[in-house]
Amino acid sequence: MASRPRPPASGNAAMRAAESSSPSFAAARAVQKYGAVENGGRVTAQPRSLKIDFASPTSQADLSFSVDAVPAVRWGEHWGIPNRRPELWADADARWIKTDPVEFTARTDNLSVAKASPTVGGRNAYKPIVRLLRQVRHTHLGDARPGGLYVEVLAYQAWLAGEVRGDSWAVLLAASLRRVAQRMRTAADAGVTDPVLGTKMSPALTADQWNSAAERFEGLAKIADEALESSRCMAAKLWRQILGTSERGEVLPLPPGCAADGRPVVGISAVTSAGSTESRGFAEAAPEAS
Amino acid sequence: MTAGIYDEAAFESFCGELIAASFSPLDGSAQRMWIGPVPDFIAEIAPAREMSVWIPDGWPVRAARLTIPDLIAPHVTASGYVCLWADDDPAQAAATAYADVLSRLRAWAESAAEGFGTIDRALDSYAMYQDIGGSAVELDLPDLLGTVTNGTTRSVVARVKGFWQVRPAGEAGHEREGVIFYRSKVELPPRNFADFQAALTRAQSDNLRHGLSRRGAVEHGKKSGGYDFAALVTPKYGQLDVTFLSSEGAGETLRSKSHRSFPNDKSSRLKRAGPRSADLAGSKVLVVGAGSVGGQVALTLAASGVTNLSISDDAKLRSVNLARHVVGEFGVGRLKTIGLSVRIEDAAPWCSVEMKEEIPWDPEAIRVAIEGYDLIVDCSGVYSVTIGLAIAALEREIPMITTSLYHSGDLFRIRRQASGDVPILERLVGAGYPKMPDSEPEEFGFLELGCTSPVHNSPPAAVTRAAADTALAALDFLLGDLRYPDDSVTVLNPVGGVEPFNKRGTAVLPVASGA
Repeated sequence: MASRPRPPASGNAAMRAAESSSPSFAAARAVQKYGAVENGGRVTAQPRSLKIDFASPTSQADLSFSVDAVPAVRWGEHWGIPNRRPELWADADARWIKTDPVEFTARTDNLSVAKASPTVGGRNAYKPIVRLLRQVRHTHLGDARPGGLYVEVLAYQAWLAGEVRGDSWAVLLAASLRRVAQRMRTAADAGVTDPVLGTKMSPALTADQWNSAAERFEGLAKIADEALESSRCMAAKLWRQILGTSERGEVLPLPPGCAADGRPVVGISAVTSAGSTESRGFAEAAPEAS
Repeated sequence: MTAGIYDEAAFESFCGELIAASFSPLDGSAQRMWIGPVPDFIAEIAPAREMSVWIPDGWPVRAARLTIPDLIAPHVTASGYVCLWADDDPAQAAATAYADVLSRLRAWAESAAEGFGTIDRALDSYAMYQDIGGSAVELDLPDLLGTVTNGTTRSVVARVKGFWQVRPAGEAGHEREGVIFYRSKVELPPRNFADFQAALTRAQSDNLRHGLSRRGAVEHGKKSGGYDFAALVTPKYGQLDVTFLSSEGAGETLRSKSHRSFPNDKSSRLKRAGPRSADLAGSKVLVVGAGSVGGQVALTLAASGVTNLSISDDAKLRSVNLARHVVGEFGVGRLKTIGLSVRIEDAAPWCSVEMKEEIPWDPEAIRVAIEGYDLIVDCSGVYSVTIGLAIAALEREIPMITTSLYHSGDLFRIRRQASGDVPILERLVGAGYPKMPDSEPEEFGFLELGCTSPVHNSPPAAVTRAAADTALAALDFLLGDLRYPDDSVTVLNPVGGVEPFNKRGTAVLPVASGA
């Protein structure tokens, strides 16, 4: 077992060099460079990370984004990140959380090219479905836990176990919602096992948090099953209810000939009897009264 | 349903295309305003690197609007709005893809570089001004300007009644003071007040400065004591284009707005009379009867370009007539012919109207009364008058059209008696001209106090239809087309079981034997 990481000893030139290139030092430089929010800057201190805002100068919502910078240090062959509860930092055993996002990414990459993974139209469906699950979680759980990483881990486990089968996006997403919901129920008692480290993921959620999330995902899985049995337009309405919106509008655009309430409609643009489709001259300017 | 959008699925698809083209929605715009890169072919002619796409209410029947900042070119407003389609152009409904809008923008850019076609011409200088007002102005420029040279200046007055109505200086009831400047050439329509001033001669500029210096600080449209408005007129496409500015404030606080202008000179109004109105000039028509049908017919013929109209009737307009008559309340208590002459003067100032007494009963007097007309249009609705006119017109070889409503407006019949037509008196039942069905006594009309006979109660829609068809038949004859039959009956509501009255539509008479 690898030893716990220790802070570098001051006065040692080699350690100072290591410190200056470490993520935590980079974060400190970010605060220095961009300034804290309370001082009019763009950096917000969070329990174990720094959030840096990149606001859009033209108020374009989808061009605004923020980055969470989490300091990480090597911990043997894995990584350590700070516990999000600073009051525990005095305890050497609780100060650092072992994690390995690099290895987890490698394993999900393997799953996304594995022949055993379901495909849609020849395309491996794992990563697109995980992205949709994260969108669903964001839409229906928002800031509540579990976060996106937990949902991704549960989906990884379900897909790795071959529990999700199908050959269309709709069927695969419906099955994934149900399987993730089941695993949330299980997690309420047993927690979630880190697929890389084999230990319980932390910080752990309460049983209530897991059960609440499971109930939500079970409901969504029911809606997804209903969508699978519905007409094209009604299915679109139900999937839109599941997937929600982003800064750029509905995640799932309506199919042609459908209204948002699930009714089939004749698209206005399909009506050709309104007049000529041959444009006349460039127009007299429309009045812009002030 | 997405507010203001007719086709949600197409709208979301359009938004997806904008995203694919690197556009982003403006925060809080509900996906209706997008900012994104200008296409390469625009980058070559405009300094802006970004443009906006606005998806208006009514999309896709109203196409997306593009605004490209700092783009100075024809059909582009001061704000950079590129006028790709007229508001009433149905073709814009086909622009449901961003590529369609870009294609139209490319066509505009090519025209901007190589020259616009005749179809693209517009008198839209007002729209290039940076601040556009919501009002409008009516100008009879030939009358206001008279003979002009480059630099002509005319003092004028105006009133604001719904919009600005400009008249020559001294016209009573027009208290706003202003000026019209004529320049024989202006390179680019003014986009702001400095441009407006720069387009003037030195003398005109001095005039404007002095007129504005007398202003009190008042709002747009109010009397200021100095110039309340100013117009720059310049030839464009063989016509006159106007930048009309109203002002508010004074001195340092002076602000101006441009307003859309409309002509109200006689030749502009005559264009509304139709493409063949000139062919009717000089024609002389007698309309007999100035009731609901005759009044409509007379007004329509005059508005279509007939220049000499006589109207015969002795009746006075009563309030109860207003529901079906073209003359308004101002004519109540006056002869219907007087009310009509006023109405026609308003609608068709090119037409001279002669008011005549009722057609006499004496045959010789009828012959005298109808002498010299190119056409008589009998809308009297009185059988004996029609017979007297038909005999006299036949004898004098004067063409005649007569119209009558039957069966409470369920039917109407239009007969023409011109060279080559069967004389009206020879259109007998045995010769294929059916007997018109009688009205049931209870259907014929209703009594009013003071009347000794039932009032004909054809509904307004039947009256208007009969009058319109009668006017069309008269114009058909006057223009020499002769596409209308000399006798027809139009069934608006089928009556009984006898043909042709039992079917909706127009039947040409005489009917074939056995019908």
